[in-house]
Amino acid sequence: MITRRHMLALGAAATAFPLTATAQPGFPTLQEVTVDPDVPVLGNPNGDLTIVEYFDYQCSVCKHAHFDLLNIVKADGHIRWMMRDWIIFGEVSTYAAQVALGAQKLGVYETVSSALMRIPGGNLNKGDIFGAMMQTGLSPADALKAYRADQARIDALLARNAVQAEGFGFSGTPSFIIGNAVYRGALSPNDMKQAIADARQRQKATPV
Amino acid sequence: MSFFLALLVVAAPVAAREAPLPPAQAFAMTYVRQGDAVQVRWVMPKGYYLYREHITASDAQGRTVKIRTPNGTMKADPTFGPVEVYYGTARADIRHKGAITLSYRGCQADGLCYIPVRVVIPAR
Repeated sequence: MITRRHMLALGAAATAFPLTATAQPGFPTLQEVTVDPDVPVLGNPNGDLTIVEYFDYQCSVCKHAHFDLLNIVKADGHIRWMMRDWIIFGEVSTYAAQVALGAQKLGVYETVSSALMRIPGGNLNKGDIFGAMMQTGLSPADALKAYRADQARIDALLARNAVQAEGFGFSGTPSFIIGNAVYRGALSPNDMKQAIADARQRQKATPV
Repeated sequence: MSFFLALLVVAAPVAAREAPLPPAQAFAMTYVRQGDAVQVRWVMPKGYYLYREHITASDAQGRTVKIRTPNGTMKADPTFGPVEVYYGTARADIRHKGAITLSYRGCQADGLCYIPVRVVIPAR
């Protein structure tokens, strides 16, 4: 019997093998993950392919991967990239998410999330976030005010993100849904491009 | 439900990096307790590291318990600056009479930053 772990291990060593996939009981549904108007979207909101990322602003690997994927998404032009904060590193990560999602309400999510992703180090404090925000033209106070004005909805989103990530059994961040496939951990730019091409191929072969 | 509506785990035809290991294999932790003295040791496969500053301990009331860790390796990151980490093995020494909650976190290089692991080391 091929278990999930086997499948993932095979994924690391299957270069020469055809794509293999299996559904997993207990996973959130694709609709739950990809249809959610509260989630910030980067790239093309009407794109033909959706990537969902579960991330934390204090995850150093997420920061590296973010700008690589941003370049890919911009160059592609047809990717809908959903950013789901999954708070795994505590209070400061919660604060960063609140600031970013408040900024989303004000229409400047991409600017603010990029500024937060550029903060050096994987161990942030509120001063780091304040400093990054100063470069965006939006004060943390304004972003937090927007967050508090819509706190119940945003807190529910953060809770939903955590439930989904735990439902997938993710061990950390970043983790991705690319098309209808689950990927644990960052992919190199070349591997990400391949994963995107594979997802489009599956969509083409089996349209919704 | 159509095929496409099911979420799948894919054996992807990409291979630049190994799939992340489960946390217990990525950061295999053992400890020895002799009286108040607790020695903790981790063994990590190649490509995995623990953050020195994120190895912490607390008592049953949540108060910080002092922990001694050796100097680590400065991981120079051109974008994000230096950070002190352990590759291969790590250790920590704790002296405390009661139960200890040990917390640690680390990453797979360029792959995954793991959820912090919390382990309770019972009182003697």
